[in-house]
Amino acid sequence: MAYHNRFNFDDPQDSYWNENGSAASSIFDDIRSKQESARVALDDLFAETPRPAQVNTPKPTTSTARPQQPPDPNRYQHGSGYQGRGERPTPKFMLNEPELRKDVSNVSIAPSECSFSSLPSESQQLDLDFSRLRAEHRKLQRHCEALRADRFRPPDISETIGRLFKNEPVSLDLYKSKKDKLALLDAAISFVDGNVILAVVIYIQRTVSEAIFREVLLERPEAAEEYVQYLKDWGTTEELTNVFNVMGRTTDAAMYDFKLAMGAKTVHQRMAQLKKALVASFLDPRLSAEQTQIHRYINIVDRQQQIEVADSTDRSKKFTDFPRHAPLLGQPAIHTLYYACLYHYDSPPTSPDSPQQIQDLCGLNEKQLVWVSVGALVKQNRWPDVERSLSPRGLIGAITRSTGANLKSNYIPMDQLMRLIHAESGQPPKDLICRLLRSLPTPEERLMLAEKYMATEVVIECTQQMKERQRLEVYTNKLPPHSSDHYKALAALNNSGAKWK
Amino acid sequence: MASNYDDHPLGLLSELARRELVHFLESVPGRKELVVDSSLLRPLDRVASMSLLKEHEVLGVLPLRKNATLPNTSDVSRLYLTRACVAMTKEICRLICSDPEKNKAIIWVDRQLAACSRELELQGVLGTVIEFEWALPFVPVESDLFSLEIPIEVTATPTGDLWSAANAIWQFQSLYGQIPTIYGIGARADKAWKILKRLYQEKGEPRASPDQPVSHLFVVDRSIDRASIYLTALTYESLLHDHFGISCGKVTFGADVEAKTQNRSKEKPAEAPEAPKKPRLVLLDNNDAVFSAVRNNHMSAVFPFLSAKAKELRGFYDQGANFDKVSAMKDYISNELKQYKQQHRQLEVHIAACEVVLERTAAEGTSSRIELEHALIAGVADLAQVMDYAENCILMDNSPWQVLLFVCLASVTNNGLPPKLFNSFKDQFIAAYGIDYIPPLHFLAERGLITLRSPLQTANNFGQSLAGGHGSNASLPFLIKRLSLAPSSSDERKTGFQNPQKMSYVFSGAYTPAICQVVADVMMHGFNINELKKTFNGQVFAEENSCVPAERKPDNRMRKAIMVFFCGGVTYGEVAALRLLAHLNSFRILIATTNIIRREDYLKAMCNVSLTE
Repeated sequence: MAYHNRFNFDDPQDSYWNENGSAASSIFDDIRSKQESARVALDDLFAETPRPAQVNTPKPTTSTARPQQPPDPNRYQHGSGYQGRGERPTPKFMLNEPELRKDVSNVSIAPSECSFSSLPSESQQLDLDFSRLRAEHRKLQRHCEALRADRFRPPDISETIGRLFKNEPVSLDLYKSKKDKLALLDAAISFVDGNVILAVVIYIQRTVSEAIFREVLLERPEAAEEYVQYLKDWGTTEELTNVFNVMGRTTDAAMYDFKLAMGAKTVHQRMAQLKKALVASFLDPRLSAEQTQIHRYINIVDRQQQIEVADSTDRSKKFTDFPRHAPLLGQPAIHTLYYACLYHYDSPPTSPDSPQQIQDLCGLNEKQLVWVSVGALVKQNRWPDVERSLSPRGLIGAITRSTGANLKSNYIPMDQLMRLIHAESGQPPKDLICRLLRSLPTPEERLMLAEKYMATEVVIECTQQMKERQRLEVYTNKLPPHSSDHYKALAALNNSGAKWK
Repeated sequence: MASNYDDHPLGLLSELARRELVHFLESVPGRKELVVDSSLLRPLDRVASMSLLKEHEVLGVLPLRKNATLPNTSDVSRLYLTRACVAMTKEICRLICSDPEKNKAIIWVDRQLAACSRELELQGVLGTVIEFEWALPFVPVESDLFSLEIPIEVTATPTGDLWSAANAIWQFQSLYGQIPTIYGIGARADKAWKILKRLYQEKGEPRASPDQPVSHLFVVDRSIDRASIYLTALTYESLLHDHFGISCGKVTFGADVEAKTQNRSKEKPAEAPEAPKKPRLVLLDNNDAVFSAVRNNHMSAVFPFLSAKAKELRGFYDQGANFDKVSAMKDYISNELKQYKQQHRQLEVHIAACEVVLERTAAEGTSSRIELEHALIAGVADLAQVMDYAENCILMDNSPWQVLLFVCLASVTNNGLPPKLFNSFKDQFIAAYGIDYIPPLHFLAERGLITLRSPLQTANNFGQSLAGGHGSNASLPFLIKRLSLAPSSSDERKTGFQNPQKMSYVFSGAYTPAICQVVADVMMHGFNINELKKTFNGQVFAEENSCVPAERKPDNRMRKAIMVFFCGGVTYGEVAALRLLAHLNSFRILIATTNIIRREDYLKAMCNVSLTE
């Protein structure tokens, strides 16, 4: 495109008989044209040229000098150019011919010897135009040939990258050698812009062998990063994991393999693919934790399948009371445990569907077991069991349980436990709540939660202990009138035995 | 321009974009429909109104979604407006191939990408469509907040948003003149600046202009301060964004807020119970008098304000009942009542929203989370206790992303978690949420957000960040100490959220957002490049395009704004902090950003999880 602009006859720069003739020589970068212009300038030195102001005077010297010159067409043309001007002077032309001006400045001008015989005739003039045109034509032809040859030569790398940066059309196919390609890529990286880098990377990927391409990516992390991003956007996991593996990012590769496996439609396909992925890509020691997690998951799904088969035929009451909404298959460990607590809490501990077995299988800790089983038992309103699961296990636990005094949970913070047992229309016995709350160390904490969950007995105890009659009054007003709690609170307020502040 | 500068800050940018869009519309003759990438719908609305589009024969705007079919309309040209991304290009190719006869054009927002043009080529679509490139400028979200609204997935990639960011700054400078002083902090800022330099070469360098409204520009890399994302910011706007997701200054409250407002309005018998309608879109900006008053308030100061406002309104209504003269009554009804009614409605919406936010935070046990967060920032937290809380959250089945955000904070404040806690957390997390979360956890570790503490490090080893190498970001404990981001004593913390005097109020006084602190320091003491280089591992530059040396501090008597450009996103907490900074020092601060961060989405993008999952 640029070349077209450069060589346009309308463009004053290039048109030979336009004002700026000398500029043409600067465009023709080849040495030859420069040499020519030098020669012409030299000739003109000897030829006595008129000062620009004297343009109107004809120049006999040039005409006389010419015959002695060797028959060089270019020189001829130039020499005759002056003569032509001498005859039909165009001051603009003269003024703007720097070559001439240079001459003027350098040479002391001899008085012109005007001679009418030196005026060219009509035919000479034609001849002159013709030769000028011919020279022009040659020049253009040469230039055109040069361009034509250049057409298949790679343009300057910085120019190409600049065009890529501006999103202008450009062909990269001319950079054939590996050296060129790498130079192109390095130039692109120096531009920082991801799009430019990617354009070059895609081109290189298309045109070199896989081995070389990998090598290129290894050496240039910026390029690799763009390529990886491109593959991610593209959604081609296979190539992506390949690239990761080649670059030594095996953990990343494993993750994408894993994602692919998890994308499988059915659970069975997923399992098969996961097993394959485990063998193929999770060998990196850094992934040992993930590996065990996946193994565990596969085991859970196996177990889930067994349970599913057994339960699908089970028509017992708990399945009608709490209908299953979603299939168990593929659920995470905690959900499986919840399922076991909900439907199989009473199974013997050795049965594969019992909570204990699930806990062992999934590698869950005591905290998780307590938390989940409380949730599931609350849903079934099995309060004694809730209490049992909250109390510490073993002999000491049994003793404290029998006294009922020291009931507490080490695993669940009290406010969350309260929320848990009040969840989903749970109707916890007041007695249980009071005992739980009494296990809290400070009366202030106890009172706050007791007020929130309407444990009247505890509120009364605490307010009495803290001697805050007013707080009890406020609480009493909140209670529904004529309820037993209300009467209890009133009784406590009216109790003259209590010492208030 | 100068006259309406205050009304429409940086209005020229939108104007230019608008005209450019109109030009594209006009170059496709006849009636047409616009198919718009759904992430661009609201930014488009900010730049070009529907009536403007209608003027140029646009029949309708349709969202471009995955696997959606478009109604078949004959004799109507179709213009696709999308950000250049492979997924959208595939979608467009599918639509174009299904109806090859249709006259169509694609307007690429920002620019066409090599990956997209390759897709067009592969699908044989290249050459059959007219393509335009439309550089979306800063979209004015508020009079001092401008966003490029680049999707968060793009800003999470290494170079995805840099060109757009650089181009936006170039656009701004080409319209308003060269910015005299420019500071850059962070690796991403540095890269964006390199691209900007290239843009100068290719598109021309902006000229200096005396009208330039901005005297100083900060280009800041988001990733130098991630703590501001993990911490729960307690300003009203920030909480709304966390819970409901504000997009381009608009929000759709969930069903619970709608229910609350409807319950209140049911007292009026005139309103017939309506069938559940489309969720209402609420515009949140300074035209909403109630919102503009509380948006930057600390949550503890919001309810007092709202109830005071409600009382005030009550007073106005009562006043209406006490008029003796009919003319006064008439006057009151025609002039003031309408205004009060409007405020009443706004008040209703915001009280309902507040209540829902508080309910939700209470259900998630946010108060203990905030306490622990503050302890972590102050460096006094017991990690076992912190992780215990995280485990409780997991067992309560809270949002996994919120849990991860919390653990991210625990990790970055301690330079990683000890192996025992790290592994047990991972196991419990996977056990509760499923093995689908293995890749996210892995990517978080890769990006250094939740990491294993290496045996050589200890939590109190502040100096180690300097040994972390030139390229890496300074560690959080180091930053906190160096920029004194956390208050030295706890009394200092608890003061004045009603009428805040310190930027740390957005995090209840526990932490000053690092980027805001840097801006404040420069404002007070000038730009000390050597000190900042020490702080940010050398990734700092300053450039002066005027005779004023870059080290000199900005002068608010010049009546020029300071612009802070967040490369990679800003949080509403930081916005509030900068607004306070501007207010306290009577500066004008313009906040520009690639996007506004919603912290859950940010984390998802960091884990390479698509936001729709």
